[in-house]
Amino acid sequence: MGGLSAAIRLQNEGYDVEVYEKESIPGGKMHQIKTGGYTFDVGPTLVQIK
Amino acid sequence: MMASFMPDKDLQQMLSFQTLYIGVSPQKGPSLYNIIPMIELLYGVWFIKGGMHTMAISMAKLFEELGGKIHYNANVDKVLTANNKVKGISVNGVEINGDYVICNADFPYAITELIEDDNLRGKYTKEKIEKMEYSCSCLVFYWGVEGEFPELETHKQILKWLQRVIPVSMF
Repeated sequence: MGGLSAAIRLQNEGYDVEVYEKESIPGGKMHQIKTGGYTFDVGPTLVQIK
Repeated sequence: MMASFMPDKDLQQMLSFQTLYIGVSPQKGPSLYNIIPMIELLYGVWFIKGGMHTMAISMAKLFEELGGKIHYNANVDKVLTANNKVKGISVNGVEINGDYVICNADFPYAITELIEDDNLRGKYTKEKIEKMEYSCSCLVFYWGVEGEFPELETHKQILKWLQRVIPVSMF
């Protein structure tokens, strides 16, 4: 989301921005799982340096 | 610290447990995380229709509407540098040059794997990164449940005082 936020702001400022995303969908850690008719939000279950 | 301003333990918990989201004790957490209870109290906690991922999809849509381009399935192998400056990236082995590069990958991964030149990592050497300790974030359960629960609001928090604070958040 940090990448998309930066991309939107810079594109809006007039920069020519291209985003390279490893996955096939946007959002990074903010992911979504659909299974058995239910939808689960996957949040920032990431680690951070102390 | 908080106890010197607020004698009430429930209030202390309510305003201090948020650092546990990043696996850090409220006693050691950076004051930056006061932003979270501040936002909760001043603006409330909301649920986006379709789930949080709708936010990501909508931001990607906005970016593209502004004329930006997103390359999916595009794995960045390296951040390319020359003369102590970033000059571009390598994507699936193809070199792409740019005036500026903004990297939003996880920092330890990016600095050790994407930057090749040891001299450009500054104080974040591979050795230093390897020695750093990681904290655990939340223990999260995803439950698929039947029915509706009107008595539970979005982001309902149940605090229990044992020897440590144990917050439970319902989304």
